[in-house]
Amino acid sequence: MSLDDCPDEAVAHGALGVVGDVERVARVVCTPRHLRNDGTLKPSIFPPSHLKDGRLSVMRCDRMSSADLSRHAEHIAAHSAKDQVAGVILARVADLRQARTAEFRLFCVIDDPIAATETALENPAHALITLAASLQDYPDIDQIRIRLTQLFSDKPQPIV
Amino acid sequence: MEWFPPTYSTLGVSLREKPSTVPSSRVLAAAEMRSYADLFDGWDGPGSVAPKRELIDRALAVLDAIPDSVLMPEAGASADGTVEWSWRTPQGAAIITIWDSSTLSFYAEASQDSIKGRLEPGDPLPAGLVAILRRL
Repeated sequence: MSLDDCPDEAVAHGALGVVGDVERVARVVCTPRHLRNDGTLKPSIFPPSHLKDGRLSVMRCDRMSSADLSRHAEHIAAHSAKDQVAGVILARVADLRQARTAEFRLFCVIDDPIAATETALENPAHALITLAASLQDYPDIDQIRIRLTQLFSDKPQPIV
Repeated sequence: MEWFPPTYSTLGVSLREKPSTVPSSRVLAAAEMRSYADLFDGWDGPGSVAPKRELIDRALAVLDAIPDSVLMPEAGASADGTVEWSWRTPQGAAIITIWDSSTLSFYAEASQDSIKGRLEPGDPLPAGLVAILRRL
């Protein structure tokens, strides 16, 4: 797979190294508001400006324990007593990297470990999904969000 | 004696009256969008932003412009404060995103057809978009 559009994919920023094609990434669904009436995902789980700015946050779930995944999900979702974390949605890194329009590769998946701060937990398994091509216009972002709902699992899985 | 739940006909309500007793999907969609006015910063995790009232109002104006012949969308709000209408069926998917008070964009796909573009406030929905939405 060509790294021409995603030079950052070849750069390891932490101890876990570059994100492998065989890995899966997980995104926390903090609230059931991101689920349709039939329980499937709404595009709202993928904030358009986060995609535009290249900061769609995911976790390398195959490189962390279930307990760590649960701990980070609860930290991210610890925002309101009203809503409960709905679970995590999963995507295969290879599928994300192979997604294309007719002309362009769409996504890069980049190693992006987080150091502990006052508000963030240390997370060596953090990663970012960024846009590979110069698809920065608003309607392009809409198309990309629809594509992401197809690449990630339809419904959130409970965090064990 | 076996009990059967009452039906509209046993209650003497004609089928013509039934729709007025059940909220329409348009009403439900609008209610969901209005409920986002109660969100607060941080509602969707650290750094998340509540949608502004003017964006919710813009979204409701878009909903009003969707013809009755189209399946009603579901409302959505994102962590960045944007709101949206979206459709997802076995036939395809579509989204209208309200980025801010003056920027709306859309994308729709069904079978091999797709359309995308921007809308200015007050613009009618493009005929090509409505045509795809009718197929969802």
